[in-house]
Amino acid sequence: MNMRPLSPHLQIYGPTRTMVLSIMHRLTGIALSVSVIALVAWLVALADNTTAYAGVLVLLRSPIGVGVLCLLISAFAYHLCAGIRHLVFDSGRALERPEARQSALILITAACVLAALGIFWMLKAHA
Amino acid sequence: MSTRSSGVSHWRWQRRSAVLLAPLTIWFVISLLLLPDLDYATLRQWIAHPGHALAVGGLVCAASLHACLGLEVIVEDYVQGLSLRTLTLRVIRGGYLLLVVAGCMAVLSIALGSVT
Repeated sequence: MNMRPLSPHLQIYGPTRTMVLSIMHRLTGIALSVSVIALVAWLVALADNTTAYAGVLVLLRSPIGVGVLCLLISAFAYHLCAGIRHLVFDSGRALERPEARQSALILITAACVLAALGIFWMLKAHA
Repeated sequence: MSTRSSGVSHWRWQRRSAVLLAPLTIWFVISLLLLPDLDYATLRQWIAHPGHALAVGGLVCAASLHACLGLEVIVEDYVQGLSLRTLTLRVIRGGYLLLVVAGCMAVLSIALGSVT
C-alpha cells in the first residue's frame, strides 16, 4: 500500500485566498457552534432566577466576557457573509476563479465592516 | 445512514437552517442591542412576549441544528477510525438535542411564568 504513488496533498499547495476563507468559515462555524451552549446557558439562567442571571451578567460584563463577545460578533459577521457567498455558489453562480477571487474580497470587506459596526454598537449600548 | 438520499437531506437541511438563521440571528442581535438594559426584568419581559418567545425558541432550534450538521461534516472529515467517529457523532447529536430541550424549556417557562 505504501508503494502506491500519492497525489499532492494539502501541504504541497501554497495557501490561496479562497482556501484561507474556506478554512475560516469552518473555524468560525466551530466557534459559533460552541457559543450555542452559552446562549442556552444564558436562557436557562434567565428562566431560573435573578441570582443566577446576575452571575451571568457579571461574567458577560467582565473584560474577558466583553472580549469573547467581540470575538463572537466578528466570527458571526464573517460566518454570515461567507455563508451568503456559499449560498450564491450553491445556486450555481459566480463559480469561475476570477469571480470567486472578487467575491472573496467583497466578503472580507463586508465582514470587517459588519464586525466593526457590531462591536462599536455593543460597546456603546451596553458598556 | 450512508444512503445517497440522507446525504442530500443533510446538505439541504444545512442550507434551510442557514437561510432561516441569517434573518433570525440578525434580528436577535439587533433586538438585544436596542434594549435599554440587559438586566433580569427587562429581558424576561422581552422574551415573555409571545412573538419574541417563538423567535428565540426557533433561534435555539435552528442554531442547534445548523451547528450539529456543520460539526458532523467536520468530524466526518477529520476524525479517523470508525468507532471513534461514530462515538463523536453520537455525543454531538445528543449534546445538541439536550441544548434544544433545555433552551425551549427555558423560553417556555419564561413565556408562561409571570413577569416579576
